[in-house]
Amino acid sequence: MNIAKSGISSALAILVPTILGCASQLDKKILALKQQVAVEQQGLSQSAGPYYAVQGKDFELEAGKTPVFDVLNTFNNTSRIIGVQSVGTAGWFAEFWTDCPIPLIDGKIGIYFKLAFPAAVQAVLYADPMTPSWTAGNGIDFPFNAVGGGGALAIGGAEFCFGSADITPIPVLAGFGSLNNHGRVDLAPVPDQGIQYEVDLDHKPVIILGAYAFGWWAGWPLTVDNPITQGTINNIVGKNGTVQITKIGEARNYSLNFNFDLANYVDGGLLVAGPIVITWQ
Amino acid sequence: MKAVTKLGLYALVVLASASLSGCLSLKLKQLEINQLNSELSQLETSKAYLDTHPKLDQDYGAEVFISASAFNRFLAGMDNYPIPIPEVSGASVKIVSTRLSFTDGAPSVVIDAVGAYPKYALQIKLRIRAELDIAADPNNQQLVIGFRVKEVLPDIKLSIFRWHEFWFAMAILKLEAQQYVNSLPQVTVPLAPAFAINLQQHNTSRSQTCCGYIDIMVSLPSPINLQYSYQVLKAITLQDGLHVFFSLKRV
Repeated sequence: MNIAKSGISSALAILVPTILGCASQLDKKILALKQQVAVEQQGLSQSAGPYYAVQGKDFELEAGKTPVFDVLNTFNNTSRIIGVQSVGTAGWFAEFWTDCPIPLIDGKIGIYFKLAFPAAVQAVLYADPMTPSWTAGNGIDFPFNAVGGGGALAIGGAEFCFGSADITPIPVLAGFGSLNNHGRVDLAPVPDQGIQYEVDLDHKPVIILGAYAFGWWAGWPLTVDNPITQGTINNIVGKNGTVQITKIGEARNYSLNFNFDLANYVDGGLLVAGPIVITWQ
Repeated sequence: MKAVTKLGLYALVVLASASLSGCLSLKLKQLEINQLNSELSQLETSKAYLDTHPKLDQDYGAEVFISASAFNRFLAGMDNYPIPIPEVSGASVKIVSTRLSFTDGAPSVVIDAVGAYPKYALQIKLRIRAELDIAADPNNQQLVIGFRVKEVLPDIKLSIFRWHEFWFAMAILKLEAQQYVNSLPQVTVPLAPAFAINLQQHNTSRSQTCCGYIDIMVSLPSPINLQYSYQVLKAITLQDGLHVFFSLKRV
């Protein structure tokens, strides 16, 4: 009995302090590591400042500015001849008229001009190379200078109180110029796709259509609305993925919908962001 | 003599129980140390990367960010999946939920799991140490986000007097963490085949005239379509979520 008692006492006497001693060593080590982690974390938070995402966004894609400059350089390295043509028309592009002099007749008397056919205006524009500058928030800005010319075929007609009739085809000269203009690239988020960008000019280019008709010289301005051109930058992340437990082979597929609601210029490039909707299938 | 033997046996049982209980407590502390060490190492590598790579400094750089909440919404898709324990018939480890708690540095992988042994109506809370593993799989055009399970421990006070619980906990302890590695959710995020940027050759706009309109088409000499392949450089977790850095290469 005494032997057993003393055996247990000795064993406990060795075991308990060993475990307790070990535990206290480990506790100290844990404490030291936690302090070290806190210090490192503070350092990382400082370095991470510029990397934090826009608040409230599920997803962000940022791309450096160079690919956008690649596009402009590609344009600069081509002939830089921009074609301008009409592709559709309705109604008249100019008219001169007065009220019908016949009492009680509610009509007009005058002349009008309309394009002879949808593709009647053909012009080319020679643009200077674009030398863009990049500002966060504002984006890409570039001087835009271009001159050109072309021709058109119009039809002159007359209206006389009760109706109208085409009279004669008129050759038209088209002068085109956009000097001392500025261009910019506007961004717009496109849900599920990425960024759409548009090349817009501060002042709409004007085509002057000039002709000699019915004994007079006349000129008519025709403005070309923005955008001059547009394009897209796609999202790197696709739509369909899985969450999977590989070992037992169970998986759930999902599709992602990127409801981009922000596209902006940042210091280093472009940014598109927005919420993600996950649809489980 | 009989009484002495009986007492000796009791003593041994108490000793064994105390020893195992102490051992488990030490193992749980060691688990925490391992967790902290791996967190520290990830913090250091993340900081080193950010310090040497100013944002979008490269000619062709890109970054994708997925927020912490979106990421956890992925993981919620696999809540409550059981993983059988082959050594104990009918028993399983149930991963109730796997969530990431994001901080600057390594996110804490919070795995709520229980060991369940219905035969004896047993449920043991488990502590699992896991690390986030992010890899690009360019062949399949996806980003694979998985977990590396390092340790699995029953989080209970053991008592030899609750024999079934004790025995079940021992069975869980015997399991190698590797057995769970392929059993936790693996998220694949699809990637597009290439990063592309294009400019339309033709653009049409309508010019209103006095009494009608003319549609004007502006045409560039040729369409511009630029394609870039990409490579994943680094994935970093910060307090707001996951940041993946890419390099783009014109093709």
